[in-house]
Amino acid sequence: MVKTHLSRLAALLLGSLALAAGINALRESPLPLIRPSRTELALRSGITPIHLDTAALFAKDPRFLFLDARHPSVFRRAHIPGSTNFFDMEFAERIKAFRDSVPLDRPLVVYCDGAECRSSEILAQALAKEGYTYVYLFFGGWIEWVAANQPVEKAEKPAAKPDSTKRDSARKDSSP
Amino acid sequence: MIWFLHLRLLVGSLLVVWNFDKAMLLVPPGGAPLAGQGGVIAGFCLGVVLILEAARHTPPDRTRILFLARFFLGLLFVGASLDKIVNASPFSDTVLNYSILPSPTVNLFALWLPVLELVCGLLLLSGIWSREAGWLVAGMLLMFLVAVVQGVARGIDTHCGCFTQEGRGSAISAVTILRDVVFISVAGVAVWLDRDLPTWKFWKTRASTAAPG
Repeated sequence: MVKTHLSRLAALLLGSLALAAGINALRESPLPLIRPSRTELALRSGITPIHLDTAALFAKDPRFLFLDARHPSVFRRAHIPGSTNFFDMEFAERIKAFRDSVPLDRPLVVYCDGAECRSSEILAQALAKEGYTYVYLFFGGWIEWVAANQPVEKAEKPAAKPDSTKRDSARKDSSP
Repeated sequence: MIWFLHLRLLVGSLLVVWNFDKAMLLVPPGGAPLAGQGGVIAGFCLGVVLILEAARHTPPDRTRILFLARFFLGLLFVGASLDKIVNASPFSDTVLNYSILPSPTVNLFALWLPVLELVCGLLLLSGIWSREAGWLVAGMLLMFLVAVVQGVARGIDTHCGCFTQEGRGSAISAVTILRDVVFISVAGVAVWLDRDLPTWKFWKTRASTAAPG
């Protein structure tokens, strides 16, 4: 009796796995069975992943706009100096105003909490889709920034401020 | 009029399952405002009323409770699986957001789980291999409970991804945990009462007992 139950369970598990593989193969764009790494996915979306040292370098350059994709209440507590809060869940409501104030060729550095949060990836991908050419993704995010004793800013900054340092191209000089 | 009783049960269950997730979204803070969601609430309440009203007409017995539990879980799992199968890529992102599985394994899991849900849901509805399907359903619900509890405990900001991959408004919360506990209880009842009784035989028995009356 137990053997029957176990064999049925195994049949269900393996059968559904085979069925899932079959359904996936029939998709227009099948999902890869092994998920590509975040870096690979970012590169495919036209986003450049950067590490802490590059992020620290960019932070000193006013041409780069740092975007903090965390929740506004967390952003208010502290953030990377000069960064602007752009919570990824508010993308739809805020993108128009953002586009009006930030030119498409301005380099953007997007971050959130760190390796485990995905807001920055989602925001970076959405911005790349909007036409922003130079989108950098700082995977290490806030946690890595603080752990490395980098400077932080605690005062609240108005969201999506108008761009005062409008640039033309010439971003290659600052690429990592 | 046994067919009418079953029709009420069917319509009631469909309404409850269809509106359950949306109705739950109204509860947590920051959820959609109650105003403008009248259709969801009305649909959910009508479903509950139809089920209760249908259940009132015949005395409860183990077989009927088993049938109801299977029926509810079957519809729930079939309903929950379809959107995930169609939107496999967003569901894979949702699974990743829970931050439990290693990233390379997420896609395989996101492809497999909805199909397993669909198969188990259909088996529960038909009553074939329903005991095994019930175990698997209970296992999946327990696994989801662990995922949500750790997500809430770690403050992970993700949506449930249970019935739809659209939007990111239905963040996991204590309500999601409570809802899952209810589902696990129903699955427990289904497993506990289970016996080899395909659904068509149940309907046949019901029809023959109801006919003289």
